[in-house]
Amino acid sequence: MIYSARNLSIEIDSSALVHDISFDIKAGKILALAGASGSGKTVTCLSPFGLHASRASGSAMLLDQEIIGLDEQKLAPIRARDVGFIFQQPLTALTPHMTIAAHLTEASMQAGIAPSHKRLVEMLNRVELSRPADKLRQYPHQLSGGERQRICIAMGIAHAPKLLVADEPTSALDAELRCDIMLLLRDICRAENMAMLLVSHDLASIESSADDVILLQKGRVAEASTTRKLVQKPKSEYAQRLMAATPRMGEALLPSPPIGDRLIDARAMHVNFPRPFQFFRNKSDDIMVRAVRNVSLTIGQGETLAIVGGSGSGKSTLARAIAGLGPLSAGQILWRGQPLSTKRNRKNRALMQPVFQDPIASLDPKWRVRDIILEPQKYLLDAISDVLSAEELLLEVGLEAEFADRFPAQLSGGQAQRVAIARALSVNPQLLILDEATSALDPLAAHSIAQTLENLQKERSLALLMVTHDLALARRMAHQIGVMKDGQLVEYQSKHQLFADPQHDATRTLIKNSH
Amino acid sequence: MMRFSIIIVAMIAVLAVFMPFLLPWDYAQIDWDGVGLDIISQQAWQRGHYLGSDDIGRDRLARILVGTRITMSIALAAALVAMLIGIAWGVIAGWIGGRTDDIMMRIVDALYALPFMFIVIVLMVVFGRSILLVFIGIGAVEWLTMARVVRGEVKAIKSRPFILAAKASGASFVAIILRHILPNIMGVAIAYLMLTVPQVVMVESFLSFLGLGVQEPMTSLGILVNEGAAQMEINPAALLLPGGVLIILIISLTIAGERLRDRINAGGIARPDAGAA
Amino acid sequence: MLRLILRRLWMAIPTLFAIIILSFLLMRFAPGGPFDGERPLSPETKAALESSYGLDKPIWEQILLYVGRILQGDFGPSLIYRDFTVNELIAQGLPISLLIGGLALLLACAIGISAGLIAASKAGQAIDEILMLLATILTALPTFVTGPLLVLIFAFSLGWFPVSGMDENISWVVLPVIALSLPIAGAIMKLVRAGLAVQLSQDHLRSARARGLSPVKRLFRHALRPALVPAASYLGPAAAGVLTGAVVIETIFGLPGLGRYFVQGALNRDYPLVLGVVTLYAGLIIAFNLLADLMYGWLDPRMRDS
Repeated sequence: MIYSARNLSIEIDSSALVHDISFDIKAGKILALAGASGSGKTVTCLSPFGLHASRASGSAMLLDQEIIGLDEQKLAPIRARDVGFIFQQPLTALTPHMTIAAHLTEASMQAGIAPSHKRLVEMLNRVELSRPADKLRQYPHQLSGGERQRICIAMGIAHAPKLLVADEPTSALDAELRCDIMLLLRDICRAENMAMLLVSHDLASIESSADDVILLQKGRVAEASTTRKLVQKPKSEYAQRLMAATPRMGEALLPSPPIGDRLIDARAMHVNFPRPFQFFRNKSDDIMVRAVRNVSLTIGQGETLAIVGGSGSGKSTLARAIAGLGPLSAGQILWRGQPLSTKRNRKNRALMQPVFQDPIASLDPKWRVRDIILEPQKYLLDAISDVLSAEELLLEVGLEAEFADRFPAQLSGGQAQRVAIARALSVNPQLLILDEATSALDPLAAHSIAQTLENLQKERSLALLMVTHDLALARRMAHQIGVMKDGQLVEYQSKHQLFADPQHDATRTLIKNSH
Repeated sequence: MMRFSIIIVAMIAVLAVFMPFLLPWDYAQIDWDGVGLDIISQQAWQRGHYLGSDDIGRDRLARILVGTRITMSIALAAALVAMLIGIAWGVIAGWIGGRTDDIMMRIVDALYALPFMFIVIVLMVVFGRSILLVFIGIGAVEWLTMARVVRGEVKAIKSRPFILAAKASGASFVAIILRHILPNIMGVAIAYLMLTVPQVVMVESFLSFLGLGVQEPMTSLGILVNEGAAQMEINPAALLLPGGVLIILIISLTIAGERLRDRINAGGIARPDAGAA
Repeated sequence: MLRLILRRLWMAIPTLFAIIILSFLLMRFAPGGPFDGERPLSPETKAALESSYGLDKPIWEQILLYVGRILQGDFGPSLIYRDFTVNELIAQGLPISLLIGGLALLLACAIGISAGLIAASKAGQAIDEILMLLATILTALPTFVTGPLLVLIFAFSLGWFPVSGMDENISWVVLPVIALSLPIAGAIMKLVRAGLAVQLSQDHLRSARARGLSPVKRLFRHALRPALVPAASYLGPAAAGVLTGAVVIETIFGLPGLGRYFVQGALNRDYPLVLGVVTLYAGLIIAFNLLADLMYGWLDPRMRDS
């Protein structure tokens, strides 16, 4: 047994964060701690090692040595010798003024060995980085996020620790990279016979790598079992709800509500941004960043169109161009056959309303919920027919009328997103443009908001244009799916056809990397 | 600490404004029979010079109070001018962004790099010495920090989705500035206003010390320090009293402003990194 | 990195020209000329004087002549110190100003960085609070008050240092340098403390801690260098502060430095002298800003590529 906890509890300022957790990790095995944000999974893995400002009690045995109650003086050498850590943010986890070689040397020195150049190259080869000799001379900022996370892994295992603690190692990375990094971690653990404690909120990535899993809910164990059992036959009510809320590629496709008249007919849209001014410009550089290239699409009444793509694929830029919130360099957007000008008038504005990713930042912190919801009515009143009050709108999105007097700081993420939806609905739009509207929320809150949106769609026969990185979510909600890559809409199909017979490589990669 | 500093500033302000009316001597009035009276002498007390008189027989207490009053009012007026210019400049640069922002901030950078005190001095020499010019000159250079801070805030707020939502609501440029941007930057602007005031006090006193600021018979703390420095061997109080008032004033204002700024940054929208300070 | 520096240089040149031309025009259009003394000169004498200094030519020609001469490093004759050229006055005053200014900057950096380090490593403790309060007080101290106060205490009362002027014993530099460095030391203290606070809360310090590195190693190897970036960017303003402060300090301590010539020139409308000093000052400040740019690249390699 490498690491085992018995009745581990953690508290901060005498308020309990985690109650009574027990687990064992054997060499070569991976144990995952799963749960929503705030469930206590990160503190559970960091606090016993003195890396969190909280106090742990109970027992945690690392290699048959009790580490609870040790002071920093004693813990630091234990961390240096027996444990490797990998954190969530590879972009900031490395010291900016130290080269990769300096980082790896420092990490190896934990075991007391000054590594040779050959050894450093081997370390980079181990984490499957190309051109290791060049990388050693480089500074962290010259590498991509995925490459930096590989460096972090190389540092974490440089001193051959017995236990690897990985705190959300992939959640800051793009979807395509997550799989690769998780597989790398799993292979290293098995090959080096290391135990690993993995923290993740992403059930999909846990499923593909961990042997056992502990699901936490508000600091308590909701379910502890093998990964396979938890995914296939969850026993606890919380795990069942969570599994139902998480869209999965394997689930049955439900029939979608019918589609009415064509609302949007967008033709040959292009969006170009001027490159930031550079004094010395390379002649070869294009003076424009071509964010969206030649995209055409249609949206009908009551239809959900999902635009799926990785970060930087141009999907948000496209959504903003359609919403009239960003530039449209070329192309035409027709609304029920009539062209919409780039400079939208009031009537056009009232036709479609946006909802954004970060719910708290979507609301002006100085305004009350009532004023936030009614802001569009203030400017667009003459363009709409029946005027709803803030209270009616709140009820429609599933909040109580009392919320009208609150400030955004008094709302949870899910509540704030509901307020943002209520604001969008206040001018009776026919199209909602959802830019990753649920991806900043916990699975349960996200699922509940998705359901609210589906109900609104039925009642108001709303059209939804949803931009997302999550193919499984698109699969669950959309009629049509468009896949974007490098500014182009490389595939645009009904979802049944798209999954039955994907045409483009980008689509196939997306499907392969989704769960 | 912050409350304590504000109380001290308020006390100094109240004394400077009202106390001169209660004194037997006017600040410019010359008492021919009481020239150069020591600070705690019986004669000074009897003649109503509670802190003594200067070398041509003017009441020291009255001069310090009136000097404080003038220094503080110039500082407040100039800081307000600086705040208005800074907010306007910062909001425009931050809101428009792109090339305009680049050029506007380059101008600020260039002005920052200038030995602006020398330019103020050249201005003083060229256009003569008047209070109006003193504070226009000071206000015109002290807006730089405000412009930088406001611009940073506006850029941070501008990228927030609630501004996009307001655009989608059909709110005009002016409405967004007035209803969303200004209310969100006001706290920071006020904190920096409080930090500008002591800066201006310093500049004004500096100019007056060199004989380029406020002119006789008017007086200011800078002039009094200059006069005091000239006779500190014989009469240290002439330097210590106005110098002490000046230092306490500047320190209290700075502490109050910094604490207010830190408090706002802790809960504010944009957290300008330490380099902005 | 080279690009960044070239770009900065490229921007500095127009700035420098703008300063020269602006201050030239201001001085030139000022009401009252250098020969409007107490005793009016006869029109002929005045015309002869003005023509000998080139003041009767059209204004654009004067500017061209002036800029041309500055490019050759010639600031022309001084109008009030009639027997000297501005170059000679600068050659006399600059070493003194550079000596006390340079020492003041060094002292300020030494005090500021070490006190900032101490405060940051004891963050939240009493010593941190006290040091930061001290920093605020230091930045709030006007040189024209601290200067005379230092003289009063250490020269008049204690007699440790000379009251004013220079003598063979180098101790005359002590008081001016201290007075000049205090506010800058306070500012650097705050910047270093704040920079370290930002760095210490960064993820890369948490990873360093997770690897079991000692606090001293974390502070010096991982946190200090990037934490000095804000302080480096203060170098330009600090240089400007020293030069400005020097004007007062040289007056108070009776030192024949550049600052004193500047004040004398300004009070007496000695255009060539004032323009010469302002140009030189602007050049110095621009040089310090460039130095700051160079330091960024070393302190934080990310800046080299941005």
